[in-house]
Amino acid sequence: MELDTFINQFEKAIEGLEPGSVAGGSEFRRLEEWDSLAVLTVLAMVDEEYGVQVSGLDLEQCDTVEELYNRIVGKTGSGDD
Amino acid sequence: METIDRDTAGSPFHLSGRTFLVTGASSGIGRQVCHGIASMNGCVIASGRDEIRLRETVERLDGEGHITIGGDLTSEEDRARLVDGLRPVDGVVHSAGVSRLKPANYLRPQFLEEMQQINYHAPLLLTAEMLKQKKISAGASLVFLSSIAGLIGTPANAAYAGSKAGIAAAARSLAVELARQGIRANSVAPGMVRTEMTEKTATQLASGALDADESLYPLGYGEAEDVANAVVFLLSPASRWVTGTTLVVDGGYTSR
Repeated sequence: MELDTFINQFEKAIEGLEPGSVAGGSEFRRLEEWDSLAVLTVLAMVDEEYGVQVSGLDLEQCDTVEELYNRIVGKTGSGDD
Repeated sequence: METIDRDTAGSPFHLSGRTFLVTGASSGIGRQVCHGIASMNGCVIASGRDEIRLRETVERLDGEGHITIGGDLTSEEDRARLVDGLRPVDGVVHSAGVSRLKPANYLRPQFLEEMQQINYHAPLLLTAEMLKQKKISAGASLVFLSSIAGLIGTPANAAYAGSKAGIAAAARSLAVELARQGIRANSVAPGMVRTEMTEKTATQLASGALDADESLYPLGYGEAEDVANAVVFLLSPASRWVTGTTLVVDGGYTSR
């Protein structure tokens, strides 16, 4: 799992996001396309791609895409799903 | 002729002398339904997967004679065993269920099948087994827990909504089919009440999402007790001319 791959998956998942519009340092809540459905979409994408269950509360503790990526990596590593 | 004891005299809302099977009785609405039945002097057979919590439910009920039967209702073997051990009942409350949000482009066969198994197949197959073994008495009332999600559109909820609309439709069919046996079938469609299941679904959302949602309810979010009271009405002789309906209990949400 790599950050670039994750960013690509993140961009694909959210309706309206253009490829290349997001970087690791992007604050996802500031994205115009970010709404409650985007939250559920990211959770579903992470579940499907990484077999990891993150919650809305997990998301709240992250600001940037990279922070979210690191949180997922942490959950994958610890087997905490 | 039906015996009228002192408790029921004068009130068709009482459940004295009647026994009811409640699924999903270890928590949430199911657990509250058990309390509602017991408070109206009915007898409870509580079913659920978590036997410890099931016993907790029953130990706290008013009155005596309540029992538990553990088991997984999605298992054919467990269903058969449960029904084998039952005496004929005067009603069944199908409140075992699951809820999980998933955007449409992430719906997958396993997810849909699991939702259907628990929310739709299990209650119908339990009903089938009980009818086959003649464990539903004449005059009984079947109550299926549906949801307002089965009536109106909510995002990322297609799997749950379909299962809950399906069970309400199935109840209408059963109502017509079983009327000649004197058996009634209805569903209850609750709006958002705070239970462990809904809190778990809510963890999928950002905090604040629930507060925003609650503001759409004219009477605010409900309690499990509010739904249980509607279920008890449908179990009681007070609703003897009510069958095939869906009773919406949602604090006015769908009336907006």
